Amino acid sequence: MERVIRRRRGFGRRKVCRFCVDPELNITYKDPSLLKYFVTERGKIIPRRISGNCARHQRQMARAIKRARVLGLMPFTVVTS
Amino acid sequence: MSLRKYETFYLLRSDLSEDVQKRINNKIFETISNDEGKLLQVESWGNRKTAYPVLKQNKALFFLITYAGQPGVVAKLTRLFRITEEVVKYQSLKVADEVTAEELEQDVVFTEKARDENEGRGRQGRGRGRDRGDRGDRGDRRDRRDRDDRGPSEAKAKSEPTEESTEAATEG
Repeated sequence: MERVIRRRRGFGRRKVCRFCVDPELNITYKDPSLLKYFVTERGKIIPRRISGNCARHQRQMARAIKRARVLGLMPFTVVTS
Repeated sequence: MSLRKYETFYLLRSDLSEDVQKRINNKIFETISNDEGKLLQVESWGNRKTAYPVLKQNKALFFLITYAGQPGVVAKLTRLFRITEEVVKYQSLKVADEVTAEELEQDVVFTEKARDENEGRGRQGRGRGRDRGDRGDRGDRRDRRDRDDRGPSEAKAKSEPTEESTEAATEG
């Protein structure tokens, strides 16, 4: 069972949270050009383990994306055929 | 009662003439000022594409207003938005619990923000490349497969070390 405890795998550098590094960068639903980096092509919110956001900023990000979606600034889903 | 600072983002139907736009906007502004509130900023984003069709239309007029008002204004505005058919979407947020005296004294700032085209192109061009790099789908898929493996028989999953557990073992 001890093996189940996961370490960070050997490859890849731990990403640092962009928003912690640059306090001037605000997360707001009004800026879809920033938010789009945190959704996939399909419009899904990218998980924290991949985007590298810290918990707090990921929370804010998710909230902002959802707000932007309601206003039609961002897609809920992108259907690719 | 002290005033709070709110912002409201609303979308109007894109086929409205300027007169009608003005009429509706004025109605909204009046609602705010009638309630002892004060309009602080109006940002017009112009006629932009929406990310998905809204009421069968792909475009809408975007407006963002910042204002000071008593806690009741939002409800009043919401009522107005709901009975005004030209308003397609709206969202109000509280920005701050208090408004500074300075902010109240300044004149209303009207700004226009027109970067519709750039953004649209940027999203498709730059966005696509970037998305692909960061793409979460790989991770997603792996999770799903794990779950499937575990699902039918737990014993089997344990005896057959998954990718992750072998990696963890070699590392630790």
